[in-house]
Amino acid sequence: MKTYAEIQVGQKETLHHIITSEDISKFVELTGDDNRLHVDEKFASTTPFKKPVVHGMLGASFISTIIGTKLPGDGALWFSQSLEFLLPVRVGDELTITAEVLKKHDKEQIIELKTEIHNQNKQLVTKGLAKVKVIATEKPETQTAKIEAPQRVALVIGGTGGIGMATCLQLAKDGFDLIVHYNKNKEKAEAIKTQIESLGRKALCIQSNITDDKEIQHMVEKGLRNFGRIDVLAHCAASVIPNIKFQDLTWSDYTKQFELNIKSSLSLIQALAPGMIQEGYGKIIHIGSLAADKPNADWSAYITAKSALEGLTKSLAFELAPKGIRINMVSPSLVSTELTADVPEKIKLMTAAQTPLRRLALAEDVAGVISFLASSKSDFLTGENIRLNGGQIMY
Amino acid sequence: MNNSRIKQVMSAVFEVPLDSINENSSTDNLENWDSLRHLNLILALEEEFGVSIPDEEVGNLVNFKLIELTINELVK
Repeated sequence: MKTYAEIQVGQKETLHHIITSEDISKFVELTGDDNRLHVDEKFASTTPFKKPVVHGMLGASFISTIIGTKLPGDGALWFSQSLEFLLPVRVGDELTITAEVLKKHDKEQIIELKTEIHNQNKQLVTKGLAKVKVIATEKPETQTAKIEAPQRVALVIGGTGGIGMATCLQLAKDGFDLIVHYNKNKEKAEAIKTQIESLGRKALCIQSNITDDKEIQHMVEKGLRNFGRIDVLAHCAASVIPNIKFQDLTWSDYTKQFELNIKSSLSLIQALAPGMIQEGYGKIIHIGSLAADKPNADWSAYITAKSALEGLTKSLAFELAPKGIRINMVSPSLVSTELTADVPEKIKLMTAAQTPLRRLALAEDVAGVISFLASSKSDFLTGENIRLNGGQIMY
Repeated sequence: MNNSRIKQVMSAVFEVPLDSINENSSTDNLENWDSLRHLNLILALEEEFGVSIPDEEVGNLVNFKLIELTINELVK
């Protein structure tokens, strides 16, 4: 499909077709026009044409084909056509159908086309003038086609963590090139890069302190310099959740969690949004927590920050949706990762026993939902919080 | 040691063969493990191990592994 802007005066498209007896039979079957001049050799021999003549509209119908498939293509509304049949067409004739843009009417988004059909002897057999309205589709191609393109790039924050690593590998399998962010674990980041490359994708590891705006800006610039674009952000950074009793809580316990969850998310979106807005497409994915819906004691700072993250997700999803940026969230229950290695075995067993699906979440479960949110399959989803908890909470 | 004693208690309370109790036994796969027998199980475990299982733990002991962990904590 060509957009109106892409079509130029003088632009030409061509189509070839050899007329067969079967074409005539089908045309007769469709239209009921069994005029013996077209279908009866004996009858035709008694006319000045001597041999059957192909229906003029059969040849002309290929003008429809060239308009509907090539110039302008899908969505074209062909609303006017003049025709002159200059020479008879016979079975076996090799037709060349051409359409050339003569004029554009910008206000109405209409193009005028010179339509001609020549035979194998370069004789002009049919000529005419077509008028076609170029219809814009409701779903701009930029919003879907680009995400399916092979050069899609995802930035995974906290790429060396349990969820982050599973996400990197899943997105690589999905066809993304990856920017693997890490804080301290360079060795693991490099190992993940190797795994991504073994899947046939490109990868770049970038160290950054994501609580520092300048470092985030630097990371995004470096990513853009290397790949030219960043389509997806999966913010998987996490820290050990401290158990702090109510009476021991200080404001700094909250600000630490807010810096990691809210400040860094805001800074990342602000750094990535200009590029995504330019593309008219972007996906931001945050990690929430079941604890925001089903709280437990001693986690107030963490739960408050994750609840605030849902607010950030929804408010910015609303604001950036018209620009093509989708922001969603995955809120898993207790995930079996290095981060939760210190959670007492009894708590893990109890959590699994109380979960309708009878197990803890795996990093791969979270990566699976992120994969969906990063893909074009979720293009009509924004501001959503997908609760991944084996059925512990159902809304 | 506690492992086999717990299995014997569960086998007796639920009236199933000893070899049908294993590490994965739970309320999901032992048909006889209903709410009434659960209380009998708690009483039988307390008697067998000479411990008092706290009220807040009673509802949590829904599978063999959780029972084993809790009993091991209580008999330390």
